[in-house]
Amino acid sequence: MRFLNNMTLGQYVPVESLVHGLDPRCKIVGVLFCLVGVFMVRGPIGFLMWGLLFLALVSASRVPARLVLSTVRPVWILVVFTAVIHLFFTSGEPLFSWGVIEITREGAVMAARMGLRLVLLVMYAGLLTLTTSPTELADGLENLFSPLRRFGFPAHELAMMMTIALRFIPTLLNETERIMKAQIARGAELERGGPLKRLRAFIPVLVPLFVIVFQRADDLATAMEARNYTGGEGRSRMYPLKWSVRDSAALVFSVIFCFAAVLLDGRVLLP
Amino acid sequence: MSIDVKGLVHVYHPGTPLETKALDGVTFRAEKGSWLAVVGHTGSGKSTLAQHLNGLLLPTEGSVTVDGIEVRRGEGSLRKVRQKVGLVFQYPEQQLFEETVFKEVSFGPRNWGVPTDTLNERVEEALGLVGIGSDLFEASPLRLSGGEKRRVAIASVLSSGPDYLVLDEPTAGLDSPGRRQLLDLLSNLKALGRGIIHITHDMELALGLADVILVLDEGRSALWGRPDIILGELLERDVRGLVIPDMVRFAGRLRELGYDVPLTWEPSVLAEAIDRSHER
Amino acid sequence: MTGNCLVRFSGVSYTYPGAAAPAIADIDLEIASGEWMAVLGCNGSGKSTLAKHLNALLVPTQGDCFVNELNTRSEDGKRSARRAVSMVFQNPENQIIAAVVEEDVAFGPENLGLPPEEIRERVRWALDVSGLGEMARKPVYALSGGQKQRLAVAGAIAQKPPCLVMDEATTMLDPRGRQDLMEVLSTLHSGGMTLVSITHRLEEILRCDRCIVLSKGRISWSGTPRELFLLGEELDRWGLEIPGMVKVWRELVKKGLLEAEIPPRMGEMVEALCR
Repeated sequence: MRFLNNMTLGQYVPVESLVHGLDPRCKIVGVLFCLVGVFMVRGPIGFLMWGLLFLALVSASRVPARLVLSTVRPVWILVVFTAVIHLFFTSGEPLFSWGVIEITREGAVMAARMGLRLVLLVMYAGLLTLTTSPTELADGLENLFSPLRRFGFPAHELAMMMTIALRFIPTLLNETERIMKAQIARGAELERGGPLKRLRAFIPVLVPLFVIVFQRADDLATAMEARNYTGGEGRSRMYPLKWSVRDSAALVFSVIFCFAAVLLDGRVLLP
Repeated sequence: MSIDVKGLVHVYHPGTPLETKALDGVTFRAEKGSWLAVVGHTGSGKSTLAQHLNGLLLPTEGSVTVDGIEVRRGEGSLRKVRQKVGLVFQYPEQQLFEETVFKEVSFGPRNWGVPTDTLNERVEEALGLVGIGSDLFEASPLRLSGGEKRRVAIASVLSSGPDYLVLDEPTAGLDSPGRRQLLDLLSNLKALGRGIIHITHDMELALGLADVILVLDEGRSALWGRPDIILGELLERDVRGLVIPDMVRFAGRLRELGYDVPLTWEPSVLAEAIDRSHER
Repeated sequence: MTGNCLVRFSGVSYTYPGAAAPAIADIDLEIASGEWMAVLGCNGSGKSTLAKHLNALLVPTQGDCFVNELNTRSEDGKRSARRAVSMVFQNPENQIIAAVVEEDVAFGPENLGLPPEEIRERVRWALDVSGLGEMARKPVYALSGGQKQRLAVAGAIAQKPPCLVMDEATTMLDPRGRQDLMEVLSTLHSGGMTLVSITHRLEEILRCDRCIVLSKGRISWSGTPRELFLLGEELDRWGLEIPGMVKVWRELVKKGLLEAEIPPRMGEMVEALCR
């Protein structure tokens, strides 16, 4: 529980800001636009525009910059890996050569491009989760997907599952730690050996966890039934989603920004 | 031969914004054939302390020595300590996972490399101590009743043959018959020479059963001594989060009003004394 | 203080599917509005099975259950029972749905489709009564076991039920958590709520109006807490243990130093002795 506070895997920061006040649906759709936009960027103008927009949003969100930057930490390996792949395996005009290893200019450009795209992507998504509480996110997603309900898509159930799963992550982490300690106290070696051995060694941890989780599911279902839960029909919300003019303006802005970025970007491309 | 804890300090997450000092210089000794109760509120450091006694946690400062072996990394010291000090967590039935009760209780000795004949002996002995009959040896531990599960879990710690047994709230969630059975088991183990270290919130329980009580407050040792000796201090000092047994407070109030009654947790003793003192 | 009949059991028996014997048998019981009743018994006595009939989580395999005079077998009866009787369960962790305190309290009212303004009002009230008023926006994982149980109480009373059932709700708590919870229950009871405490701890029945003892699925005894405390070896048979303070009270009553009318509470006992 203690180390959870340290994990800013884009965990919600409860402050009041312009960005926090936007409807979650607007933010979700907005982020989707940003993701598409970022992946269409090719040259320095585009990156500059998306970068500046990002900085503006961070400042408007009143979330400490280091928290936003830290969302990249869990995936930096992926970013480096992607960049390296592009750096060494793109054919074209060679810049450097050491025997078999060759770095081309196209490779350098692609590496920089993909690297930057990934970083921006992760940080935009991180900004979403930092400024939107899990409940808001679940509500927003449920609402966005609810038109699909007539086709049998379980929008409400998925949102409920997401909420409950997120709520129990800290609990499960605690319980895992406790069970691991109990087995280590009985002489289990959980940290030694090759991957196969370690996997087998984890059975004494996984089986009890499963038992706990299944019991929990049963208890929760009973508790929910006792509190008159009968599915998504007829439920109201304590804080219903309210779409405002600001949200429409934000969405319109993001569409316009996307187009502008594509257009301006095309003007200056590295040859 | 005992567990010696000297100046034990434990800091979680040193050097980060989450740094917390859970234990701040605790010193005490736990002996074989003796019952030590560690009492304190949630957050007083009890669970942290328990995990130091078998090396699951290592001291930030200070030392923990078990029968002369210092608890630290290297030289197989942790392995040796964990075979000497059995740790039973709260709700230990949550650690059950094997297909049969017998296999579950063999898990410990198997890990310590005990040869098969000795292992089987140890398992049967442990199950016998906790009162699980041989008819249940091949049963699935997950299908037993709550009380049976708990006893199997305790047996699975006993089978490693520890000289000391650390138990964190062993009676949690049990009803009166279950509690009594478990406490009898622990008294029995103490009589057989094991050192019992009993972590609990329940001061009343500790007073009735322990030979020595250690009261923790905010990671520090607030009181230490025999139950009858520390009772007086208990009433005077307001140890944070500790719920003083009603009877003790009752006796204390009567003493203030001039009654000549002892501070005791034995109901009949108190009632007698009140009777005698009532003719004043 | 006690009014009309809220819950009525008539010859109720329940056998779990596949079980050889019934978990509870021939239960006849009436719970009056405004009462605080205790259902006592050790593990395996059938207490929880009985409890689950109060809000129609279970329906009798024999006999009938009536809540507000509606049979819980019918759809109407079931719905009425769930609205009239709220329940708090044993494991604090496994009954909290949401990650934020106030959101969990809102779960019940949201299920009832109440308007948002009313939900917010009820959440505020429920949190205040449960002593969690300052913690509305706190994450649930930061709460202690006792606080989680009080949160569960808040969630249960948010639907404004006439009756609240505590199914072994203190069993997994530490002494402080238990104390805080009992205080919340006292407040609710003074406010007119009907309470049913399912428990094996006799410490908790001091403020109850009435208690029944279940043994092997049947009602073995019924009466007031003080009458229960004066019983002898039956308590051993039923697996119930008298708290230390009550034992002292009992001895003093037997010795004639206290009248049996004086409740076994420290304050009253001291006062009575000094007269």
